[in-house]
Amino acid sequence: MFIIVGGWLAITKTTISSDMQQFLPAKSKSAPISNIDPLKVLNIINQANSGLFLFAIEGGTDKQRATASIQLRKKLLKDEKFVFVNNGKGTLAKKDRNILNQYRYLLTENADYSENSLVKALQVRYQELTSPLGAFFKSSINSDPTAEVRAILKQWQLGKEPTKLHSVWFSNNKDTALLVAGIKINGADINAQQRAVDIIKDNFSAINNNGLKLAISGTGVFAVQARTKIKSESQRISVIASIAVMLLMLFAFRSVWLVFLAAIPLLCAIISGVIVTQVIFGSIQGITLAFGLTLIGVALDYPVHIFSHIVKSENIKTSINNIWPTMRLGVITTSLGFLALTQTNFNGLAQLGVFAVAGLLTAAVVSRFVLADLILLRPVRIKEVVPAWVGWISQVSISFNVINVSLFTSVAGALIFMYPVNWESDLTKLSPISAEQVTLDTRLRKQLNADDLVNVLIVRASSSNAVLKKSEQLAASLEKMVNDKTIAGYRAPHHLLPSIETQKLRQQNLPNSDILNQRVNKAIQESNFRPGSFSAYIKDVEESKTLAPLDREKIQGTILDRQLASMLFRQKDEWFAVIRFIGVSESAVLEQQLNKLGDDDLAYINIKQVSQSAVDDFRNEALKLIAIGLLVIFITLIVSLRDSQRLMRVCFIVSMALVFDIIWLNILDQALSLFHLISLLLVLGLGLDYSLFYTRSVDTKSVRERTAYGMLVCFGSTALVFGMLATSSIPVLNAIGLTVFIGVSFNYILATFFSTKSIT
Amino acid sequence: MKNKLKIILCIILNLAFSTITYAGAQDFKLVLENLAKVKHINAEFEETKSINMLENKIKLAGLLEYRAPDSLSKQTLQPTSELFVVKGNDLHIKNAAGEETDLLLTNYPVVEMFVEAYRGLLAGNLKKLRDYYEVQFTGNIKHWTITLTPIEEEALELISIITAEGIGENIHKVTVNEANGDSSVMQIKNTQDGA
Repeated sequence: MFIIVGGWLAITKTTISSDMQQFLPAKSKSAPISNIDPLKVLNIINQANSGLFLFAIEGGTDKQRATASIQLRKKLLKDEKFVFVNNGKGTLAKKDRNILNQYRYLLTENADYSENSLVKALQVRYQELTSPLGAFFKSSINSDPTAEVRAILKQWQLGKEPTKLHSVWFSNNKDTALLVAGIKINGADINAQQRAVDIIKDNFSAINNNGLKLAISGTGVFAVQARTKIKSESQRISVIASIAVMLLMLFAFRSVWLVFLAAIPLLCAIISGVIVTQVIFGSIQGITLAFGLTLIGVALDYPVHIFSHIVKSENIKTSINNIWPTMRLGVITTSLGFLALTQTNFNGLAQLGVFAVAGLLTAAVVSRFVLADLILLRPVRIKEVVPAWVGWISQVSISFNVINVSLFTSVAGALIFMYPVNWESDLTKLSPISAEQVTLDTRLRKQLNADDLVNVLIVRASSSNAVLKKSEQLAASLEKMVNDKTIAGYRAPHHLLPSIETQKLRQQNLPNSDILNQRVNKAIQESNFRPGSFSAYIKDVEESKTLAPLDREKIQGTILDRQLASMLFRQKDEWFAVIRFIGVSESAVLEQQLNKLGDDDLAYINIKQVSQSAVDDFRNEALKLIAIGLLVIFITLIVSLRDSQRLMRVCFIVSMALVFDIIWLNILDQALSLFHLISLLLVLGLGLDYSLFYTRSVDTKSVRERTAYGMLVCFGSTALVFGMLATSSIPVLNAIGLTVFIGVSFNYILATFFSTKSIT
Repeated sequence: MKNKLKIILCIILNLAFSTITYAGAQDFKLVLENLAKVKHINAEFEETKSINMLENKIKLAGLLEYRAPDSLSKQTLQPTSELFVVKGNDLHIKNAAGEETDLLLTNYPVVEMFVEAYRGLLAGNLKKLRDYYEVQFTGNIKHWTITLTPIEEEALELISIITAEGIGENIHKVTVNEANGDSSVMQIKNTQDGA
């Protein structure tokens, strides 16, 4: 029986690669249909999938691939981390078969013990017995004449089993052997996922004597790859960028000591950023650190401003005192921009905000109060004369008048009209996972007939049994939808494990052995079967009456348990069941019909829509916060500048740079995401710095030239770092690099053009 | 001296044996070649099944068709109509109730083994037969018997031995003995030979 009906059971499909999942908020903003939060559910489903691995063995002959598949499965099963490894061979373990056999009359949904049904069943069994494949049906006929085991297996399976060759799963074209494995995991634990990938790879290379290739996929693999890729790429870029910036500074200030000193505020900024974030949040996400580091790289600008304004004729402290008000205003306004981020309820972004604010303030304070003393520790030969061409740059200027301002504004307006903003709603587009890896994943899922988890119905109740009961109550409505052809089918947890009540009801409905014996004997009389052929059946039915119903404890470690793990979740005191649909003709119709059920403990979720609208909600929230930040910055500028001319210049430079940055990104066909927005905050901060320094009223031409020199070094180092990031193939790094590079360039050009001139 | 004698004796005995086996092997080879030459068969069959669980022996009758290299169909007409068609890796079944099922042979290794016995014999493909069975040949080109004993443990639990008897290039009787004592005997009568 088990040879004929392979226990193929569908595996769950992951929707969002968990690497980018960290950039989804924990709760959704938009009101859900019922009071079940779809995003919460999404997170739970994703977590449940985080331990699933799909792999493919390619190359060699088909026999070699099959042998490798069998050996790899054996090896992995020896490792206690792996809960299951399926390759089509022995899908149903002995434990599974025992449970299935023992509890068949409690698990089966449509058993009929009437005389009529027995007569019919015996007719069908007779046909099977005499058919060419009769030999394969024999062993189970005595004890299971109504073929309940087969009915249950049908009840359990959703998809079609993949093709088998040499008794293991293969792709249809037979060039790939396929396996599915699951590990014990608690949430999205990248380290555990990394270990699992390593174990799979190590075991495979130990058995691979024929040069076969192994490809692994799954959420865990995505997460591991994303982390490794972002880590190695940002490390590579930061090493190159650090060297480039160091050389630039060395060239600009001709002093190793100064270059060394310039690094101190930055180091302090990083340390304080990490500490403050950890104190406030208890931990710091790796990804926050990676992005945070790029954001507070600006801390390098503060010592640069100081170094370039030092002159021999005056005390260093006096020089610092002269530029401090400008620097201070720049730091405060930039910090206000990042402070806006901390107001979001989404952890990753809030952490980023705290990290940046703490880092920037520390860098400014260290530059202001510590750096002067440190410079004096060693005699520094200060280069007083700036190159002639810098002097020339400092003289470039466009007058800040109505004509020029309206010219720039109208060009910006026209361009915005021509290249409107294109928002990115698909989080997966930002994933650093290569297209090949995604293709592999799609291919493997298709070959393994894993279903698409797009349309789901969430059921909530207070216990595991209650949620199963609720799922059972829905069956009638769902069956109706199958009849309506709204859906081709559905898969609910009660198909796997009925509620205790249902099992007890089924026990009550079992006929007693005398009656059953009579019915069986009558059925036998109408058949060709020998009397007494089905005594095992009568005995099994009798024994089923007194079985304690199956519960989650009893099925531990069985295939039922593993299957339920992706359909039944516990969150604190609430239990959720996930009902999945196949062959949904139209999501909207399904949604409408499910909403008609009008139950607060039910929620229809279109997972793709949920994650997209979450991204949209989240971006809108970020936009709102940034707008508030801008307003606060504006007020701060009014209060501290008290100079309408300068205020207008600063606002004009900063806003134009931001607008042109966005326009340029649109021209480059970049769909704007959260990462572009965060980068725009940095552009804003840099723009404030540049414009405040360039609109400072200064007495002498030489001070103006020094400012110009410092500005050039600042711009040069920022452009270097972010220009390198822009070359990255990782979408997130590329987005940040490109936005800041373009933005800082506009900042620099506009601030230079619209600078105020020295009095003399 | 004694040793030498022993060696000579051994050589003689060996030679004698290998001649006998050689003759058998030659015949076997020729039988397989003859079987392979037949590309198309239409035949009638009569089958008698003895099944412990059933009171009476079951008699079936119907038509068989084979097309080289891998198409085989068995249409039972008596006592009920039933169709069983294999082509390549596809198995199509239409049972007495008219229900149709399509399966992939490779997904059901024991069924595959069973089918390959027939296909392997009809195609004279010894290599294929040996993938699944221990193959033994007795008789001569004219009257021969080929017995197939499953290699796999899983298969042996169901089927003990398959015996095919033939005359020349025609198989006329196939007996399947199952592990539980049940058996089936199928008599085959060709209605038309094709090339």
